[in-house]
Amino acid sequence: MSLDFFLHYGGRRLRQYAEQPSLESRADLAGGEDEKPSVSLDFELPPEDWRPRSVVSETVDPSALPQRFIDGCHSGETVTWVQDEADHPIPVRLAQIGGVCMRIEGRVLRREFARLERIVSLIVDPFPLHEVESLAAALRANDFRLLPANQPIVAEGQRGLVYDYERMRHQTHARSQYEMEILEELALYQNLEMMTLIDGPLRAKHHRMNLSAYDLVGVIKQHNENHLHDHRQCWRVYYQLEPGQRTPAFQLRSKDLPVVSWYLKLDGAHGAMPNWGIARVEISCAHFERQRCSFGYLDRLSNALLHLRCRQASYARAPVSMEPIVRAEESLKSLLTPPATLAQRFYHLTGL
Amino acid sequence: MSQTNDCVIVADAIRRLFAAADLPWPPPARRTVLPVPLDTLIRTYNLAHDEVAGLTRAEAGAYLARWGVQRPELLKDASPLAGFLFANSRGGYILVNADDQLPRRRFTAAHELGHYLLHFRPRLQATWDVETYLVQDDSGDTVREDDKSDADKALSLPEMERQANRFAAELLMPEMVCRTVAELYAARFRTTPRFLEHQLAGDLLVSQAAVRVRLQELNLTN
Repeated sequence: MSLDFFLHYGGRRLRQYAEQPSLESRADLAGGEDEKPSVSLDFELPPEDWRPRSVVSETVDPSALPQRFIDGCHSGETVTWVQDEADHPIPVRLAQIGGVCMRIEGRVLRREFARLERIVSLIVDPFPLHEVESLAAALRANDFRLLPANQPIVAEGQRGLVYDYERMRHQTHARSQYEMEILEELALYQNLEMMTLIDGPLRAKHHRMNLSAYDLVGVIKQHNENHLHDHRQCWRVYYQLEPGQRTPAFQLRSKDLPVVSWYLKLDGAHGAMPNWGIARVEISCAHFERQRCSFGYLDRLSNALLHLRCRQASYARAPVSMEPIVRAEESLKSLLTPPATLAQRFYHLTGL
Repeated sequence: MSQTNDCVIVADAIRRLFAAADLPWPPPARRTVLPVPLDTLIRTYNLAHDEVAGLTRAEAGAYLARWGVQRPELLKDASPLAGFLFANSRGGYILVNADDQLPRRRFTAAHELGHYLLHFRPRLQATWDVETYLVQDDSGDTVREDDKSDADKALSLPEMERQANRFAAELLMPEMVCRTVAELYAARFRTTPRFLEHQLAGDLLVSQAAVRVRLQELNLTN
């Protein structure tokens, strides 16, 4: 048995569909949970003295301007599902994942590095090992990698199969996403000597790499952690921010990578929602110390980010995006096979 | 028994295994890495391989009974097992716990195959008596061996375990494959330890933890 694995286990094609909520809300990502950092809001100013701080300047300090830009891409869908002997639903995700680095050379932005992989992710544990071995070999022969997904967490320290399709599907998505982050990390790793901007938190890229030794800047578009807690004055300043202003810096302390962070309003005046156009920026504490703990450096870096912001009105996330990151995403996506073409190829190979 | 001797013994056993299976060893150096066909290799020596849910010594005893091998003392013992090996001069059985994750099942099966080739087969060949049989079971830290033969054991159980583990690591993550992959990637870009681990773990169908240890042993990670 090789690619007929899917037919043998009752595989059937899936239409694209809106993701359904899981029967249980437990999140169990493939990579495990990172350590939650503790927040020191009085890093730059006591919270009661927080005020919006303007960072706009006509000129950009070259020493505060990132030269490299890292992004990742994860384009995929659940193309089929099979069932094991106990009738657990086993979704199969077909995806293209990649990591890319763009680099400024003079006035030109060039692709310095890109790596793209085609993966087929599913939970393989319930199947006989010789069938999985031959499936992996057959997929490899057709330029796909088999990416075994973890079983969902069913109890403390215990994983197992469940009958909730969405939870099982989530595992394949999480596994693919985790693998994409490894490719982003790879793109980052190609040249750590230059100041580099990362799309997302630095913490997520900190896996046995001493990132504090390098000048990296993380720009976080999605705010899914409350770092200001219920501190009224901090939130007041957050909502008072005008484009070109930042909050005072605060510190996120963690064992692996303590960072200095702040909120920067890139866009959003004139009737926009109060949280529109706000990105969170972070640099490692070691990076901050190499700049002699200068809060002026944070202003200059923020000003550089303002100059790099995306101005494409047609791009939905433009208000919180960096133009080089948008270009990195476009550059990587230009390397992708159209998803429908890839899915058809998969169906053809597997006989579904 | 030194670790250097272990390496020589294990390398020789694997070379003979692949020769018997009519497969090339070491695997050809190439960019596309495939998992070792463990099931094919196990069947080369007339061993049956099965995956049993909730494997215990009692389950293993019941399994053997279905094949006419009576081991009543096993039937009373509900100790959980990761792997189980029974062999006599005609062949044998390798059982692994189907509830374990696939990389662990593969490692356990390779480990039991290692016991068979390194420790059982030489002794069975020496007697060549179908009434002689050997049983080995492994569950985490617990290793038990029952031996109906009178042959003296040259190795202690920890030594046998060490050799079987080395056999499984070398079989599932061949040094040549690890070196080739590491060099191929290093020639193209700067690899990260995590990238190399994930590539090899995915391609060879082994755990990332096992690859990490293997790459450290081979001095292929910084």
